[in-house]
Amino acid sequence: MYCKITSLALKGIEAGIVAAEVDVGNGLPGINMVGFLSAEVREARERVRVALRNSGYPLPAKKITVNLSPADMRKEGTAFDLAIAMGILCGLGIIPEELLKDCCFIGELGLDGKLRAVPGVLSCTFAAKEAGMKRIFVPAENAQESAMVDGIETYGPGTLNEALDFFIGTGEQEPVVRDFRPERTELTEDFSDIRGQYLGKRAAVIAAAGGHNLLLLGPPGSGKTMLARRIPGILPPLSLEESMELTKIYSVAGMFRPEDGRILKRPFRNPHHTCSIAGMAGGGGHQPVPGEITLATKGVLFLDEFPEFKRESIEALRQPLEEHRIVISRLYGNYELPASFLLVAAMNPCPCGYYPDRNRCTCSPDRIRRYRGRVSHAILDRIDLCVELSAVPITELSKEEKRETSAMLRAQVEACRQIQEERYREENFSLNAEIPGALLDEYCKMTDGANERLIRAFVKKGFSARLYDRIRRVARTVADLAGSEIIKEEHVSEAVMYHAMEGGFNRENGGFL
Amino acid sequence: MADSYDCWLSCAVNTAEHIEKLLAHFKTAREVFEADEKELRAQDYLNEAELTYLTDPRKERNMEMQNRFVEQNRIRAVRYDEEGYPERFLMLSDRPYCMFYQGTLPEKNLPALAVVGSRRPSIYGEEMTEDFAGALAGAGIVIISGIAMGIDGISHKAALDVGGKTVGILGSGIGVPYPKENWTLYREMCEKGCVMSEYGPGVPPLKYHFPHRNRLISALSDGILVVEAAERSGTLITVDRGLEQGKEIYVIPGRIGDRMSAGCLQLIKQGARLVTDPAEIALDLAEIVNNRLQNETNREDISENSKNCANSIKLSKKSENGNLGLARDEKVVYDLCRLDTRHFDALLQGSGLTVARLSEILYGLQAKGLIRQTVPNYYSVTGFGGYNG
Repeated sequence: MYCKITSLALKGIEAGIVAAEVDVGNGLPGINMVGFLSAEVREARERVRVALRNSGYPLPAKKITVNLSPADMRKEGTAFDLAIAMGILCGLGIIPEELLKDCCFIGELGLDGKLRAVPGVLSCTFAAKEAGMKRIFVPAENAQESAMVDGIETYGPGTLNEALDFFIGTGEQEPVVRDFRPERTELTEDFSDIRGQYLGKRAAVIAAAGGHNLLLLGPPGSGKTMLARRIPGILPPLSLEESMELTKIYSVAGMFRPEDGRILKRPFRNPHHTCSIAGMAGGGGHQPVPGEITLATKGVLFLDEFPEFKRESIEALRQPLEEHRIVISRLYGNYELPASFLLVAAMNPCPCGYYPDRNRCTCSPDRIRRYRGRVSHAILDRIDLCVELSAVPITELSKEEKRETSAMLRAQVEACRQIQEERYREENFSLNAEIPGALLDEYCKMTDGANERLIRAFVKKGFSARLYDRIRRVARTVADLAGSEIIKEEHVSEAVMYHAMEGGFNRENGGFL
Repeated sequence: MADSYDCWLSCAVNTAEHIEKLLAHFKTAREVFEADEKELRAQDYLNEAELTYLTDPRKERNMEMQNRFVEQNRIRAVRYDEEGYPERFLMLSDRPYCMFYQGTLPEKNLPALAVVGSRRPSIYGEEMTEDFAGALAGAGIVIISGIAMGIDGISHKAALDVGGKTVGILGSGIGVPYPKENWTLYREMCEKGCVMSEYGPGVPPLKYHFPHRNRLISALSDGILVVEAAERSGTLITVDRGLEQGKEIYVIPGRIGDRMSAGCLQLIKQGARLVTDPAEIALDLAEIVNNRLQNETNREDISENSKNCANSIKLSKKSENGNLGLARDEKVVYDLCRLDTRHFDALLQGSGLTVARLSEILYGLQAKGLIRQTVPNYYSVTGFGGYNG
């Protein structure tokens, strides 16, 4: 007898419907599996056979053929076990076929018939809902994750027999109800922890408000990491849509803890500088695993010791920084992963870290130049803000003063984003940092004095047209923070301060004037 | 013009002393070239590297290549007994046999100041070098240094930027820019200033060349300005040679406790002249040059020349810029920058202004030329608030 069961498979961070067709007929006894399967899917044959026997359904001496379709898509992972088992039971006539309509199944089977968790359940549930399914059966461990999706009933059986109960059992089963811990967004790290570092804090606010990438230069212990860690906390709270997208990514990456509920905090990813290209951009075998840039989506990607990163890993950031996504090509297809993050990089000003304090720094100018030269210009061109921090003096550390909290800064950022949202309603971008070159004149209107100031600085230093654009974008955000629709002189004079890496490190190129 | 043999010999032997001894024995460079190996080996003061070069079977080809190099790079070579050889070197006990130079030699009676200091100066040192060298070169004083990293390079550059005269004395052979980072400066020096060396074309920079050439830097100058020197610094060698040659030593003071100023403060303790204003040096040098010229000869044209020199120094004592017409906030920020190079945060803390207001004031002060960003986000006053010279 033939039957068809619905299951789901991941493709990137999205999922698609996969049908498990099972036919039970006469012939040489055994299970035969086809449909472009990877090794772990093929092994389902043994897992399912033993799990069925241990659940009380020994297989009769029949030839069973399983086909996973579409047959041209490569199937990976262990999530098809449950669907195959249900298909066989249906094929044997144990479950009436009409009951299985509108149901879909994912889950890995143990030999004892227990169901085990699989990654990416959230994406699968979304896809099932999209496909018009009414019920989804997922392993008990994944039930809460799946229950986050409204408009589809989730059932979370712990074993194969519990799943069967729904169809041939006696007990009435209720769908799983969402049961989160209370949603908490309080921050453990607050901007008020940072003493001194006014320029750094201001740069962080501008970065968060306009979506500008940020590079922090400063001696060891000047608080670069501390500053970067607090930036996600001053970004506006995640919208439901953003939160779901993020939760899907973490679910696919297997880094999601259902008991915490959907992800409400913006991520802060801090990969080590030995990170490979695959680790950074996403990689893996046939099925891509989200890399750091995807995990940092909607949040902050912090690269400490920026020049120490492998050149290729950093160069891989170029496309995502422009397009907010990354396309990974693998043998069986191209996968597109989201990657819209705020890049915050930190580095020492010189190899020993103490330049320009010549009492401590003994690096030769050549060494400093080489050290800084390791950061490619292509990436620097995409970093709008760059500030040099100084070591915070001890007197500053011991001083008690009122410091701005993250909540206060976030209010500034949110107000600024509100302005941007309204201004760019008609456009296909939403932040100042994303204004395309062609539209800069339209959106960055300056007073004559401000324009003259900027031109004067450029004539003096001979900077590139690209830097001109970057400074205009930053000036736009500075003006927005001040609530001014037109860019004034003072906004330009502030914006030109944030370009510490431009044109070299030393005094010859230090200032604009 | 020195001949090819002189040039060849200058590439062979790396100290003036050895050349002297060789010539005492062989009379001319040509005879050294034609001497047989046995005779050369008998000169026991020569080291192995020198012997290898002198007895190289391909020495004719070497000489030819050197000639070509000299021609291509428009290098001029003068022997000590020829016209155009810097007279001041003749007084040295170990005067160079030959001098090579590119560019134009400045007039011999102009006042000249050697500017020496650390290769890794602090920002303060860089600032002071630029201010002093720039002001003095603008006043008609020839700036002499060694085209090295740090103070050397900055002083040359400052002199070139104001259109002044400057001479760089190399520790490598002529036509060999060292350190390589300074090659653009080297090229500019060849065009607008002068580069000289006692080592022939293509001689690599060897460690012991540098202290050796310092004697030439001090010999060519009327006074030596030490900007920043650590306690044990090559700069102090130049100073020692300068003292032997009876030159005036000027020192720019640093702060007590700064590593890069330890040598300077030591020199001041030993009696070197502390200077805080380029005008002090300018006036002093004018006097020294006048005296020198009067002592040398009473010829009419020279005394005329000396007048010109004295007149050429137009630098006057700086005006006290007590009242710059600054607004209150501007004055607060300016005064904060005066004490030391300050980071933006320190200025913000000290002035109590907002980020926006402070950046506006900093921009204004930079536009007026009163302060500058030395390193990004660090600010200091521009040396002396501008000269009238």
